Amino acid sequence: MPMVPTTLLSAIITVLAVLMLFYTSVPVGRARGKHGIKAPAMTGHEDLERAVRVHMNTLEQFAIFLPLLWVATVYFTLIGWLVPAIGLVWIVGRFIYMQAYLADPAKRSTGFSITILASAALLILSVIGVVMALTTVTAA
Amino acid sequence: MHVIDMPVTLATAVITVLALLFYVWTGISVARARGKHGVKAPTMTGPAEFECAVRVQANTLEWLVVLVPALWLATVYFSPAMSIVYLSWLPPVLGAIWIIGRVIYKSGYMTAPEKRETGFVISTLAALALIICALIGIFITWSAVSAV
Repeated sequence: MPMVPTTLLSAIITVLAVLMLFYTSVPVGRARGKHGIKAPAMTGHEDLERAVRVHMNTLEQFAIFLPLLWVATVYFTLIGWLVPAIGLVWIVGRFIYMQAYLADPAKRSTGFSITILASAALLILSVIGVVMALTTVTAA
Repeated sequence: MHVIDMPVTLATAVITVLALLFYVWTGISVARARGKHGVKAPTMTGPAEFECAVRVQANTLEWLVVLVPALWLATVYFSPAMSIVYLSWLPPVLGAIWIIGRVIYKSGYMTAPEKRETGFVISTLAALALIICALIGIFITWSAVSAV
């Protein structure tokens, strides 16, 4: 177990995050079918609009999350497991966000905050990692 | 075989560029439909042709962010783990199938929204197959690493 490299753990997190993103698109299709809303319409029933917002917001957050996860994985090497662990927090946060938003849009902030904090933590670790790498390069 | 001399990563790089170019093309179609029907930004609704172009672009973006990580994870972890050389080429081949599926999806959707399904199914299956390849590759790599 301790031999498993961080890149492999981050690869697993990436697959799980991609599956999470895919999972948020499922209620969109389901709401379309249930309420008979044909493409290209994106409005028509509250259920569809909630599902669309969950999917869109997850896509927006995913575009921030994925580069930060990998920059932190490559450059922040002080604590190997920390970066993929934060990645896992992001996925859990998105799951909570999705369930809460679909049930009641007013309850979406907990899951949203967890995701944002996880991304912020990855940003900080990325900056630390890149600065450390720059210091090493310029000192050499 | 000449093609086999080319590394899989290079083929995946080419597929990635082609997928990005296809995505740019979906954006160009939206801009063209805006001009043709006089739909000014930030309006996102209007004639069917414009709304279909918007949906093609948005849906392609949604799937592009699934495709690109899955394609590269499969290329990095699945391809080197395959001893049969043809299997190691599966990731870029699936990537090419995704692009073909998307081209069919786009032309179908622009003809009539109900004609979008064939292309959608092709590209979705290709993306899901890449996720499975990535998982298999990660599993094999994990087993090799923890056996040390």
